[in-house]
Order: sequence, then C-alpha cells, then structure tokens
Amino acid sequence: MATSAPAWRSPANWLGPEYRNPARRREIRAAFLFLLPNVVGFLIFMVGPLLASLGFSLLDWNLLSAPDMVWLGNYLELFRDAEFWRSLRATFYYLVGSVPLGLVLSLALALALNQRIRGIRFFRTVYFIPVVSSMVAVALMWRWMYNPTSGILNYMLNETFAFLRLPLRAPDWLQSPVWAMPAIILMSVWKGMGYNMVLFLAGLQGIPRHLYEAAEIDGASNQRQFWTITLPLLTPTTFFVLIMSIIGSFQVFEQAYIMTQGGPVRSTVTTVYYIYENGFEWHKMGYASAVAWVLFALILGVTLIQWRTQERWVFYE
Amino acid sequence: MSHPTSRRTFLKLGAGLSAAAALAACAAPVPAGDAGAAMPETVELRLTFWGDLADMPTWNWGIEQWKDERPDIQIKWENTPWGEYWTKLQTEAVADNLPDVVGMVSMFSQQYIRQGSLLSFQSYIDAEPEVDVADFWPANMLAYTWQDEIYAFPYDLSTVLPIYNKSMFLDNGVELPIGDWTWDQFQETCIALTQDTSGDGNTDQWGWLMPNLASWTIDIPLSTNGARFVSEDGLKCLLDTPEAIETIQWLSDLRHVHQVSPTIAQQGDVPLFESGRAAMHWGNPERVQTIASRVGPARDNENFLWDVALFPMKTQPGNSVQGGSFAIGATTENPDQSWEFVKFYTSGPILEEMVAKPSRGIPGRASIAQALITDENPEHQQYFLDVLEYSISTFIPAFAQVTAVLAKYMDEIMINNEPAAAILPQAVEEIDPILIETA
Repeated sequence: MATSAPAWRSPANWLGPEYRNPARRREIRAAFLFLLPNVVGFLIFMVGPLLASLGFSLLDWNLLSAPDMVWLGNYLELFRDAEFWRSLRATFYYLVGSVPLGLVLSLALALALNQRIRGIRFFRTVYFIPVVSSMVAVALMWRWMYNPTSGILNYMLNETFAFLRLPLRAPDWLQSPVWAMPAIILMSVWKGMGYNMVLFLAGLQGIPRHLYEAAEIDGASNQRQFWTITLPLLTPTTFFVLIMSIIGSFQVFEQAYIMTQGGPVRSTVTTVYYIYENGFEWHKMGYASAVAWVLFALILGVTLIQWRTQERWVFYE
Repeated sequence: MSHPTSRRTFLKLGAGLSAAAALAACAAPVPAGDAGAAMPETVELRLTFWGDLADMPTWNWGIEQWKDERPDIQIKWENTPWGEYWTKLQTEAVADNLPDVVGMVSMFSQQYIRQGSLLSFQSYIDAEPEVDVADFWPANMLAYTWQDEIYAFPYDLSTVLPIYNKSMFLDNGVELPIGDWTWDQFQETCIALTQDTSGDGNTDQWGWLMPNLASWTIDIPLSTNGARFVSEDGLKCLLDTPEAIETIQWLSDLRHVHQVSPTIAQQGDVPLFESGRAAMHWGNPERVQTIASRVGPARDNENFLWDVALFPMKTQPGNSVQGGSFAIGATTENPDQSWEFVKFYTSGPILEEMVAKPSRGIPGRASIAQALITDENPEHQQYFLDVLEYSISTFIPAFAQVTAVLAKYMDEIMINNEPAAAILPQAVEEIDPILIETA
C-alpha cells in the first residue's frame, strides 16, 4: 500500500501557500539556485572549520601525529594556564583602554566635522585615510614614531618637558612592559577613529532638524541640546559602535604581532595572539582551538549582556 | 537595428561562458606530440626558501650552473619572508603538500625530521660513497641527523663575532681587540667608547649594540663561561647553573649598570653601527657582507675602517654555531631528482662560489672554507672559522616554543632589570617540561 510522504517533505508545507503558485514556485527555485554558491561557500568555509575547530579542541593534536582524545582536557588545562590568563588580562586592558577612548574621540571628531565649514569633505577624507591604510604600514610608521631616540613622539615630549622644566623623560614605548600596551592602544584608536566617525556622522545627520529648532525656541543652550537631543538620539549608533568596537578589541592581533611580537615580557600577548602562538608556532592545534572557543564564549556573553541592557539606554525615535 | 538582450538570454549567455571557462581550466595539458616524445622528460622541482631579492643573485648563480648540468630538471624557486616561512612550511607538512626541496635551518631541523616531514638521505648516501659527507662540518651535522640517518646537507654555517668600528677605536685611542680578550677588557672598552658627544646629557655613541639574546645566540656568551642553554641530550635547561646566571647578569649589568648598550627599541630601525654611533655590533659572515654593502670595504676605506674580533671570554673561549641547509620533502614525487639537485647545490665548487666567496656564510663544506678569507673581507675574518673548533649548539625539536618562553624571562632581566638569579630558575621550571614533552 502506497503511503503519502511525510508532511515535512513537501516544500509547500514549509514555504507556505505561495509555493502552490507555479510562477512563484519558479521564482523560489531560482532564488535557491542563486543562493546556492553563497550557502555552499558558507557551509564549507565557515561552518565546516567552526565544527572542525570544536572537534580539535577536544584533541591533543599537532596535526601531524595521531591525535589523542582528551575530551575537556584542553579546557581544564587553560584554566590552570597562567599564560592564558595573562593574555586575557592583556586583552581586557586593550579593550578598556581603546573602546572608551575611541568612542569619545570619534564622537568628538564627528561633531567637529558635522559643521558647515569650507573644506569639510577634505577633513573627513583625511581622518578616514588611516582606516583604509594597511595595518602593516601604519604599525611600522608608528614604530618609527615611538622610537625612543629618533622618534618624533619622544622628541616632542622631551622638548615639551624641557620647556616646562619638568623632570620627566618620555618612555621607551615599545620596550617597556608598562607603556607597550598604551602605545598599541593609541595607535589602534588613531587608526580606527575615522570609521566610527563616519558612523557617528551618519547618526548625527539622521537627527531631525526640527528638534533643535524647537529647543532653540525654548531657549536651550548648545550644551543642553547636546545632552538632551544629540546624545540620546545617537544612542542606536553608539550601541552599534560599542558592540563592534568591543568585538574588535577582543580580536586584537595584528598590532601586537607587528609592533611588539607580544613583548616585552609578554605584556602585549593578547588572547588571539596566544591562539596564533599555540596553533601556528607551537603546533598545539587542539589547545589553540580550545582557547578560541573560550574567547568566542566570552565575546558572545559580553555581546548578549550589551544586547539585553540596551533597552535601558538606547532610544529609538 | 539593435535587439535588446532579455534578462533570460543574458543569464544563459553568462552561465554558458562561465561553464566554458571552467571547462577550459580543467583541460588536460596538450601533449608535446611526436617531437616531444624524443625529448627527455622534464621535471620541475618546487624549492621553498626564505630569501629576499638581495639574496637572489647569489642563489641564481647556482641555479644557472644546475641548468647547464641538468636541463631536464627545472627548479621553481619560491621565496617566503622568514617570519611566515615556518608557518607556511608546517601548514604544507600538514596538508601533505611539502615542496620537493626544502630550505631548512639547523635550529628547526629536528622538529621537521622527527615529525616525519623530511626524506632521509641515507639510502642515497650508502649507494653513492663518492658523495663526501665527512666534508660537511661535523658539529653542524648533528642538527640534520636522527637515529644515525642524515636528512639535510648544509649550505652554510654561522658563527657570530663582535664587529667593530676600527676608526672609532683608533680615534679614541682604545686598544684594538685582536686575539683573545676578557669580559673585563670588553667592558672597559665599551665604557670608554660610550659617549655623550653632543653634551646634551644623552648618550649619542654606544659601546656595544647588544642584540636580542632570546635565541640560539644565547649560547655564545654562555659558552665563554663554561655554561650552555640546554644539555647536550636536549632534555634539561641549564640556565640555572651559577655560570649561566653569572653570564646573564653580566650582560644585564652592561645595559643597566654600565649603560654601554642601548635597548632594542633605542637601537630602532636606524643602523647605529653603520651610521657611526656604535663602536661594536655583532654578526655572522652574512652580516659582514651587509655592512660592507652599506659602509664600504673593511680595510681599504678612508672614513670607516672596521674589523671582527673574538667574543670576550670569562673562563674559556666560546661561540655557537647554527646554519642553513637543503632537505627533501618526505612527500615528494621526485625523490631521485631532488637528491640530484641537493647533492649538486651543496657540492664544494658550488658552495665555494655561492656561499664562501661572497661571504654569504661559512660554507657547509670544510674543504672550501678558506675561500671565505679574501682581501675584501675584514682582516680577521679567519676568526669565524677558528671559533668552530669550540663552538657549541642547541638542537631541540621545540625550538620556537622554548625560545618564546626564554624571551619572556630574558625581558624580565634585560628590560625590567630583575636579577638573573631570581628569574632564570623560573625559566628552567617552565622550559624543562617542554623539552621532555617534545623530546
């Protein structure tokens, strides 16, 4: 006796009644066909490696010899690994240093470049140039600037200290465990400021003009307008910038790789740098995968907290 | 009259063209035909290396000789910058896509040999007794030997010596460092030549550009006090011995107490030695070549005379040796051809022209080493060879991981000015388990 196919096998049941219309059906098929390359690419190059790395994280494996299944051994080991905690501290230091500073500076820049003055496009372009510049070139340029003997930064600082008769000397930026991370933060903020500035500019230009006109009629000062109109109505943009900046900070790598190679005294070994070291320099692929998944869980957790708390401070018009 | 192309026609045309292009890319190579059948089969070997453009004329000279010798075996030379080369090579090993001929160095060779990435030369060596293996410097061959089988032939070796600005020594009336000298004499020389020439309170001229010692080069100062980084069997870090602690503390004092050596950051990207702002640097024969290209010849030079000296000693003369070599990937489909190439490329006449004469390094073969000594090179270039007699080496599989740990503790001493006696036992505690785990 012939039996009918299960209900889930029929596309009409999960694509809705539109699938019964032949013309619509053709379109849906065509849509799937066009989506296929992207979906296949996503499955092969994103989902595949993700699942593979999850599997690797349960192994003790250098990719060459036979793998040993250690189950959660790598995860347990990393909680006892002082270097992992050191890398996490370095990452949080970078995050706490770079995100607020980058946010405030890019907002200030956006406010300054939201004026109707001559050559405004030129200035906007200039501030955006670091964003499109290669990180390698930028990092090398800053390395020269940070040179304690021939760098322009220390020359200017020391001249200023001398002028003010202050008994201070500019630091040995990239060779000092105290100053290396601030040096990286400063460079990163400079490089990323233009991108956030553009986002804030778009947010500023989306604030309805009539709100400012009403505030002016009521006699509100510019400062008052900023705190009661601009800042609250910019919160959707600020929320987006904050989430992206925090995720980006958790993933910081190139700056430390190029400028300090994790030193001095491993003060700039961030978590992603530690993943790189374990995976690609020491060939401990299982352990590196475990660190990567812990980092993913951290990013997910922090983003979820931000998402949940947005209703308290993000205002959508 | 033009006909507008419909969307459907356009898509069909596009799909057809894409399919045709994909099929064309998959097409088999066109056979050479009758004329090709008479020709010997040509094989292309992929060779990977870390050289740069400046290096290539030297290597290309050898390749040209090979072309004359065996036109049927072509070499496809692939350069990757040093930093990325080892990551790439390991990835290729994992993917079973190793090159036919592998540029190798002695400090990483044990890792690649023991993980099965390199082809043993032993069967070829046994079959061809005319290949003079004994001519390769024995000390360095330990790096390329595992369980009595040889896996690579060296093209060069590096010993490292202080390179000094002879003109600066003479101008300041400081005795030239010829022959053996002691740590104390070295220190006094550095102090005499570290100067604030502009009188602004800052040092403008340094005694010695101390390099980053968190590498194989740490064995150089250690060996001059009877110490070494890792035991000869590679299972124990020896940095906590009194001699090792004394040596590292002396180096730290040169920077922090006597202030004769700038930090790595102060050295920056400006070559302080070449610009006459440091009395001494250090380097291998390749560095000699680089300095000559920047400041001119060592001897016949009006403005900048320079030379090499022995490394100062505490209790005994010392140095360390590492070097480069060529090996064969374990997965090669052309092992015989690769062997033929490596044998030729590391033969005496080739290494003499390619490595020794241009001071690219101490040639891998002892019989032609004297070719390194020319009138164009520094007066005491011979020292590079003399120190081979007592040079020590560290060959361990986890070299990268161990030196990363070493760097952390050396930074504590050389940057944070922490006492070596407190820090080095911590380094040993962390390095020993890695040595044992990866042995």
